[in-house]
Amino acid sequence: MLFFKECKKVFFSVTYFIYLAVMILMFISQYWFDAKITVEKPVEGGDFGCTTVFDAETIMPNATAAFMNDFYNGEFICYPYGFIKKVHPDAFENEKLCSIISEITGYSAAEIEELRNSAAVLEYYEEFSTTPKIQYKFPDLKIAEGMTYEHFCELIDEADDILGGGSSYNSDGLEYYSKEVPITYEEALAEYNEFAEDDKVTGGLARLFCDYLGIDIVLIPVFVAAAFTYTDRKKKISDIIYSRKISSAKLVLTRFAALVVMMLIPVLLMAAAAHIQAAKLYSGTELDNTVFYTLTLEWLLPNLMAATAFGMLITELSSPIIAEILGIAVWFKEVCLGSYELVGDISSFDLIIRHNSEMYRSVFMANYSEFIFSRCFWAGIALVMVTGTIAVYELKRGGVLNEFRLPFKNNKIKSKA
Amino acid sequence: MADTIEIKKVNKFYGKKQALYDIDLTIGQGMFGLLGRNGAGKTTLMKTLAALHKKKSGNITICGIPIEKAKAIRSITGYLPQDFSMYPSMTVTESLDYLGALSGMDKKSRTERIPQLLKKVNLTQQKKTKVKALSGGMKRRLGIAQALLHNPKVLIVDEPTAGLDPEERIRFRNLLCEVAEERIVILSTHIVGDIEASCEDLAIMNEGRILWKGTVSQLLDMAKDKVWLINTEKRFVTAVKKEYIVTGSVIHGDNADIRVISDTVPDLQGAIRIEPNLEDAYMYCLYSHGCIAKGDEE
Ligand SMILES: Nc1ncnc2c1ncn2[C@@H]1O[C@H](COP(=O)(O)OP(=O)(O)OP(=O)(O)O)[C@@H](O)[C@H]1O
Ligand SMILES: [Mg+2]
Repeated sequence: MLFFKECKKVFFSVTYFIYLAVMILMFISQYWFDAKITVEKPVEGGDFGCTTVFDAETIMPNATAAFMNDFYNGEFICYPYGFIKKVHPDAFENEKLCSIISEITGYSAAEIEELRNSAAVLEYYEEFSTTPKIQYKFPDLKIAEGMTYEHFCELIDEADDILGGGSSYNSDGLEYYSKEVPITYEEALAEYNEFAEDDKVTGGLARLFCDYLGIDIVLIPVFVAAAFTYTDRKKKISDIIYSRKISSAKLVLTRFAALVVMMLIPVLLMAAAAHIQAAKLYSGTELDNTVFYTLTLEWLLPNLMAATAFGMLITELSSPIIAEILGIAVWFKEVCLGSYELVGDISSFDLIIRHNSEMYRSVFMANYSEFIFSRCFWAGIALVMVTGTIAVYELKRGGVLNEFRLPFKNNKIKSKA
Repeated sequence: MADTIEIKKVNKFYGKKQALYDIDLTIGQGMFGLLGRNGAGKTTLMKTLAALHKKKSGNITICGIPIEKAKAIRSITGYLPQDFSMYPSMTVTESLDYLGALSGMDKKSRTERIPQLLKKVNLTQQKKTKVKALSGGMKRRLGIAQALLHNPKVLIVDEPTAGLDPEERIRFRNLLCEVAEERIVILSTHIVGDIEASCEDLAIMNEGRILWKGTVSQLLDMAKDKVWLINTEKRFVTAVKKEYIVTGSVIHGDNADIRVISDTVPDLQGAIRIEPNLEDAYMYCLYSHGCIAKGDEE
């Protein structure tokens, strides 16, 4: 059967082994060791750490105090494109920032300047530095009367804009300044029960598994698909294939299916390994014995399909290099410039879902419909791209379309003509 | 009608560059030779016939099927490209099995047909050899095998004898002749000997146009009384080449036998009129259509 022949071709390609290596490395170095640390049932009287609770009355002064510290120091640490950048506002920007502080706190510009001198000061040295840095502390900072949290958010976002974006002062990142409260035994127990009973252990672990493998499964398959699609052209086999009877739809779909199945199999095997590990570590606890596999199909398969279809389409349209560069660009944007939230960060159009914990089922389930939507969405996009690939293939095959080439790769054609 | 290829007023462009001009041809059962220099448009015409190129205008029907019905055309044509290659890590049998599957052949007919074909192209010993380990000639033979795999009514082979040793070339021609007994075979080449040995009908292409079409004997007739043999001293060879179209020269010692094309008796001592061979006739055809001038190094 043609399908198995294509599978064999995938199996013997170099990029497929790179894929295997990367996925296995990711699985062992990230998941395997994380999952080894078992979740224990809390014992009464223990220390369960802290959690934050949302409280506008805590957030506003805390965030403002931190903001004022940076303002006095004249330096803001920002991550505008995922990379660290120290922003030093000029006089004009400082004036605007000052008026924002003024509106938040109700102090005049002069009072803000005065506050600088009366603030508690902590001197410290940064690594490899001999000049001291100063941290200003404002233990009982007051917020202007009648300041609502909504308006506060608006003002803080305005400050973020002035700083060029990516600062720690924006309405989405304010939770960082929340109140910390100790976790009670009851809360810890409830959390544990969620893991052990609702998730039957493996439910949570499967999410952690998909979270780790989900990062690379949107990138490496692009390379595998691109290299695979390019082989015909590189080895000058296209004409022989084009001249056969098979329809473009059947050929492209078979190749797509072979790529996806061959890349899915190792992931399912790793899921099985994770399943066995969980059964050993949590022997005696009732496990969900299917979830590792079903979640892999639900969560990772759409990513795999989208990456594969993308690699095929762009390679047919232009070249594998373009596919790889675009793939890295999309991946980079998603992974490095995405939101900082690693748990329960799911929205309807997300390509990469993050939930970097075996706990917090309820956080994940709260976004479950978005999760399902995004999976269907990307599987749909993948099928659209496959359809596009079929169309492009058919046009190239009949000599109607040539692939778009990089300018410096054009020489061959030009010198021939 | 049903067993011919009809080509009517076909024009083809690569971007702005025109590659075929008003091609008109009827090709029947048997071997058909397409002769022409590098860049004449042979490959372009063949790819167009294999439904791999889109023509700008004109009509083509192959065994009654319009070329636009690409799938139907592909199922009755076999194509051997000029630069045939296959996945290097597949074996000979695997390659044919794969391509057979792409041609929609079922497992049974593939396992039946592949050994037959390998025997035919003399590759049975190499059936488990990887494509990358084949010699150039063996690869060509694999190429002809893949083109014949699905038993096509029409076989299109683009310069199949290029790079073959003389023995292999003869075997190849014989194979093509055998194959051509029951189908249309279109063969392109710039080696006249290939055509002489195997084809009845031929067309000569030049710069995208059909210069001449007819049978081999018609072509020979055309050059009758136009080919001369001159025996002269070796040192005059260059001078003769400047004045005449020379199709061959054999040197023995200080003397040389030169074959010369000329409409009139050459103004040289001892010129003998000789029977033209196909190469002379081909050169005469190019010459009489103004494609080559006296003194051109060919
Ligand atoms: N893909 C292409 N794009 C642009 N021009 C092309 C292309 N392929 C061929 N040509 C041009 O079309 C003309 C005919 O080329 P073609 O390959 O058909 O010649 P040919 O008779 O097969 O020559 P050869 O004996 O060297 O194989 C040439 O001038 C060539 O430069
Ligand atoms: Mg050619």
